[in-house]
Amino acid sequence: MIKEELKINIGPQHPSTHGVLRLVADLDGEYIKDIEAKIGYLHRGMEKLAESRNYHQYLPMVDRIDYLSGFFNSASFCYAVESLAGIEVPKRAEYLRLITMELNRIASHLLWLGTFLLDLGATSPLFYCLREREEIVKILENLTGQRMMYNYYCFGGVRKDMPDGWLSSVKNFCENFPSQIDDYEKLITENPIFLARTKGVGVISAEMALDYGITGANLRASGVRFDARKSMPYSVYKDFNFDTPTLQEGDCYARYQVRLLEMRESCKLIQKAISRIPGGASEKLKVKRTNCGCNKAECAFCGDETKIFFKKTNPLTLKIPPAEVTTFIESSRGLSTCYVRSNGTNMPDRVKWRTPSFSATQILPELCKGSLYADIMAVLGSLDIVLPEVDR
Amino acid sequence: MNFQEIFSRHELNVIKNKDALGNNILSINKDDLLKICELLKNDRLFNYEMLLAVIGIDCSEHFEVLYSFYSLKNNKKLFLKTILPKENPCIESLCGLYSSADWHERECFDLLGIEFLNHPKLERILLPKDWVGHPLRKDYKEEDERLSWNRR
Amino acid sequence: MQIILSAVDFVYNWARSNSVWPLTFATSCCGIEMICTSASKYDIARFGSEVFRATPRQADLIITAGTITHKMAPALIKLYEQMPEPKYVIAMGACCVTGGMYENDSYSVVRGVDRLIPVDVYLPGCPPRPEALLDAIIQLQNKMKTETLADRKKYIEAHRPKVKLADTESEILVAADEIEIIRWGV
Repeated sequence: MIKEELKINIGPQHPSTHGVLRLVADLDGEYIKDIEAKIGYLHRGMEKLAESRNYHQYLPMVDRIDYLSGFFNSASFCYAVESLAGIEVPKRAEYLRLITMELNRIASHLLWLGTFLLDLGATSPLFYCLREREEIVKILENLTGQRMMYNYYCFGGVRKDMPDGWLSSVKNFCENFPSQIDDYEKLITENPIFLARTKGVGVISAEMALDYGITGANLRASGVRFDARKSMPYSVYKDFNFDTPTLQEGDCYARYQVRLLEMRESCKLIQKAISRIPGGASEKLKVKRTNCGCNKAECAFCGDETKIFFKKTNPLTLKIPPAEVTTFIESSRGLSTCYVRSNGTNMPDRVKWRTPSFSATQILPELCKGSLYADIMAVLGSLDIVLPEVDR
Repeated sequence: MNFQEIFSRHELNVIKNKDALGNNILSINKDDLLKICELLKNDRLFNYEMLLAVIGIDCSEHFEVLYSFYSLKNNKKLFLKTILPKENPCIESLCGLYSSADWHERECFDLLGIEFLNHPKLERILLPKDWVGHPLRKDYKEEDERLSWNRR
Repeated sequence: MQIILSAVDFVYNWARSNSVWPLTFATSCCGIEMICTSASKYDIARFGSEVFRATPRQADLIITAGTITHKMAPALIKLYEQMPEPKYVIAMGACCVTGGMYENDSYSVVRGVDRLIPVDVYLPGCPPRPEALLDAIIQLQNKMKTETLADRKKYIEAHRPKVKLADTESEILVAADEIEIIRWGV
């Protein structure tokens, strides 16, 4: 039998990789015998940079670790430092953190959907998804001033309150959004080419996923119902009732369906949070505060619950006694943990990021062995890997 | 105090601490690592199926390696801490028990120089292959003359 | 003679500058703003960049969007060498202009992409807005319109990379006095 053996380099620059990932594939005809993933093309030394900066100087750099979920990384670092230093966060700030994190989750999933389908060859969904993402980015730009690296959370709360009319713009977006997801489903879900390329491809079993440390939507599509917002609640997630969509098949199609369902759940969660935020919309809160004027801590308009932060922290004097902590956050890709160790000065001793894309890239060679060459792109796209998170 | 009973039954020395959020950190000897991890994975009481992270830390007089475990069944988190000497830091690899240890240990070796015995393929993962030095150590200085074109 | 040459120059430059096709090179965060620029809200196709080519052999512009590290640098230079003349470079984002926020003490980031390849337009921002990228494309088009055919040799002489591989086994670059083609082993 004639063997056609070939070694192909899917190099760091390739229109279909989600960042700079290098794959070296050993092929036998069109079937893959062995594949090796080489990372490190975006290693910027984020963990070493933390050791020569204040906690406050490091906070803007944290957004860049996973730029599509900037709020989640900011949140894990802020929660870590707040628990080390014993800083409290008021309730209105926690609600604002929740609303911005869920908006960020929707934006990240939208970009994932567009680029996943672009890798498979469909060019139209990218434009539809980016049209919705531009709306979310405009909302977040009104709040924070930046389109992508928000730098909005600070130790003790958020930097400033929402502008006038912001809450109603979020409400309008959430009312229109589910019909847009219906449009995407009409276009993509029953498409025979999409079904042929993703059904049964890249199946992850539950034991394999737990062994490799896979979390997030990849794990939920394999039958394991694990969501850090429910198992290890942080912020105000324990006050809300929401579903965690779980499917059993574990292939690329199941991961796609789980993320679409997650977008719908996030939309409902934002609507509930908007109706319950302490103090309500900012234009009404300002009027009620001026009318009330009592300045008591329990008051519904001027009290502790409606503040943005209790006390501003000083970068030169925020000295934390030696201790260590790890925070666990459910980011849009999976479970993201941040380990911070302090040594009594105002600079951290060690910061370590454990990111979900690191484990997802590790399982990629196992999933591709024995399958066709064209399946690499389907699997790579469905795992939702972002390379800056892998390399830090 | 279930930890102490089971570990003393197997004659293993373990000291229990807590971190700032109340999670358990167990300090163990580096020679007992494999035995303890087998217990954690297979014993019906513990059931720690996931190894989430392997964190290497350079304290000035010694190295520390922190392992982060999570049990889905019981919804419990656990950290294991071992102390390694500064001159020749080496410890057993967990690749036989957990497949996720593979890349985490390679990253520890790459950035800190900690050797993991019986690892299938211990080489640099994040930095170029002929990089000199281990950057995350506290006494690391950029002394490579080949990179003089990149000075500030 | 000069009038004919300048008329030919005008038509030649007008044709070239209104159809600049970039290469898909997105390393990091600025890559997302580049994708947003090519989407429907800030359309880049109306400025002539109808398609983003995947292969450098068919592209005439490389927008280096994102941080360049020591491991990635040989790949960038190889891509630059594979592009045919006349070729242009836009350094997009603070990381490509001077090294950005990693310039102070990062051990593995190249401090500015102009230590590797010659740059035509520098675009600061972290990340620059899509409107800023469109402004950079317009500036590049204005620069293209001022070139003449008679000076083509000078432009080709100026477009050389400034570093080379240490040896065939190495992945680290060293400063170069002469030009050497970078070989890449699998």
